[in-house]
Amino acid sequence: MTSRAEKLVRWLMFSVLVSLVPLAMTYFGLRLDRRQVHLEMLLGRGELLLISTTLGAAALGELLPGGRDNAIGKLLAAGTSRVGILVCSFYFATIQSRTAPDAQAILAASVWLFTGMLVASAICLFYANQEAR
Amino acid sequence: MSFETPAVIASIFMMSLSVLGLVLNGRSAQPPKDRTITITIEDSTGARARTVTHSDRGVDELKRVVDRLLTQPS
Repeated sequence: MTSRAEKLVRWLMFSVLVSLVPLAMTYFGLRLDRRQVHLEMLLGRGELLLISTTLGAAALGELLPGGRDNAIGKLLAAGTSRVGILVCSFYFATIQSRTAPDAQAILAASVWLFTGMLVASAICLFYANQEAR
Repeated sequence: MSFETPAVIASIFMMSLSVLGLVLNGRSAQPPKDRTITITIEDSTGARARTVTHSDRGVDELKRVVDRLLTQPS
């Protein structure tokens, strides 16, 4: 396994999966109370947006400050991560300020933003690892 | 526009632009490296010395050259 792939797998295992553990624990806690669990119950207050913001910020921190090699690719990856962080933060703030948020819509928005942030973060890490080689 | 529409647009925007960034890997102009590596090999008396200078070569290639020099009979 190459070093780059190893770092990507390490990121997936120890950053992405570990950051999802609290959600898994919430699921198990609800199941222990013998409650019917829906995804809206786990993610309906924008929890996934916080995780997305953290992942994006960590990946951005790995990439910056980068060298001038592949500057366009790095700028695109870093720029999209930053946009993602801003959008996730905006959504989270909006959700928190609502008295009766629509959990279904929040779930859809969270999953979309989480997916986009995962892709952008992975590409940030790709370039950060390239820098470290 | 529904609540999740901006998120969908932002997500598609993020995915497409960052994948474009990945596609552009290696295609943007690389800064000149101007790297020169000089290795001098000599025995304990300093009598036999070999100097090898390489510019812009990979580490693996340089290692092969050094290995070849070390195995050469003196």
